[in-house]
Amino acid sequence: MVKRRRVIFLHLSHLRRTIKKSAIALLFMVVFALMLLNKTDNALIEKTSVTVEEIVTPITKVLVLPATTVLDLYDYLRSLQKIDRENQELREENRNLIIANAQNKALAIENKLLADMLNYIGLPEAEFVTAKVVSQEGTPFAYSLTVYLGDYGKVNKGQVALSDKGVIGRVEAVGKRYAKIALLNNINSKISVMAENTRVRGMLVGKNDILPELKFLPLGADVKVGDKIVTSGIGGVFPVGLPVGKVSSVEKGVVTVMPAHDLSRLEYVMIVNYGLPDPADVFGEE
Amino acid sequence: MQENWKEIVSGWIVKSLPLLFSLLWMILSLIPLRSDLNLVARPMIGLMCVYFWTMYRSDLFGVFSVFVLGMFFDILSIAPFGIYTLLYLIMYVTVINVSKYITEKNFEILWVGFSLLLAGLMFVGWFMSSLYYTQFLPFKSFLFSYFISVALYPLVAGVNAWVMNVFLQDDDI
Repeated sequence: MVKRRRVIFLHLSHLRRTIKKSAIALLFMVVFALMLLNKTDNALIEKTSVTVEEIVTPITKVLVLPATTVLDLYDYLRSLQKIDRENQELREENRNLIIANAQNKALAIENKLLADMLNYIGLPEAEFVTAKVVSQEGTPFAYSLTVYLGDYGKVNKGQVALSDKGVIGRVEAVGKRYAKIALLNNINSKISVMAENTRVRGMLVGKNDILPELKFLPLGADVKVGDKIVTSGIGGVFPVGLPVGKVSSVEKGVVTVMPAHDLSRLEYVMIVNYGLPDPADVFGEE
Repeated sequence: MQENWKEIVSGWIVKSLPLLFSLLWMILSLIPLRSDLNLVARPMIGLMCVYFWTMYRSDLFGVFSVFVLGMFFDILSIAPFGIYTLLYLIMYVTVINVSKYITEKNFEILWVGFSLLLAGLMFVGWFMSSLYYTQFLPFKSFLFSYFISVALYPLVAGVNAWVMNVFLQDDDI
């Protein structure tokens, strides 16, 4: 009986030694297997990622507090210098906005009357939530944000993320209280856009570089530096006309776009649900 | 008996300090900075920690700690899954093999060693992620991240060295 136990014990220690010896090779194999698994859009990895994010992000939120206080103080001191000039500018802007508001109201009434006459079916009204940025990833491998959603449970993957100036990205993953947003310059980001004036359509593609690129333009498309780029509405998730940015350079057929909002200084983002069904799903059902 | 139990737990915590501190560094690296640094790539904090702890305390920071650290950042990131773990494991294997030949661990030599190793790893990372996305990623963000990582290494190594000198100096650890 004793002898038998010794045999098992020896076997276990031998196994442990073998595992220890081959651990490095084993772990390398595990990593490669996980990489391949992820390439096939495995839901398990996405679910695990969201769960860990739920645990880690509150810690980041606490750690960020001292840094935020220092940054806020710095911003406040800087703003004191230009507060008088800014005040005058705001008064002027306010006067212009009052006039523009009156004009917009008149146009909205006219637009509604004309739409009724033509029996035009408009887009459903958008629902949105404003969320605070709690962490930001900016390694050469990926550019993303994590935002706090609280109990607002209506955010889904693919929805558009906006700042007060325009589109900044789209929702990549959603947890119970947090969502991960892939920024416009992230390599996975692809948004159907068009030039506001010429209506030339293209695709705004992230390259993991500072600025995203405007690709798949029609041959001989007239795109110039400074052209405003807006969403084209093709694809179903984004409605037409949301500001995205301005063309910043056109060199040797490569068109880069400067996002409307500085992607490195985002504090709050709006996640908007336009309630537009994904055409792929709609046609897939038939 | 209770004291014994407490000693065992505190012993485990102290032995896990290299991993715990590396995880803390990783979380800190995700804090939004409201600066252009957010976009022009951040330093590779994880690789700095793997290099430091493997060089000085490989007895407390083994291959499983490296794997956990890599998986942790892979899960938090939207980068190709596994890329950080792969780079950390390569760093670990290289340092373990090279450190046998480094008899005098003075800081300048280790800093140069880190910069050389990091250059190779950044290239591997660029190549692997380009392969994953089946397109070449822009090299300049890797280059910027490389220089900023090399520049910040003394700071990260300094804090880690402080942790090591304060908490991990007992003979039995």
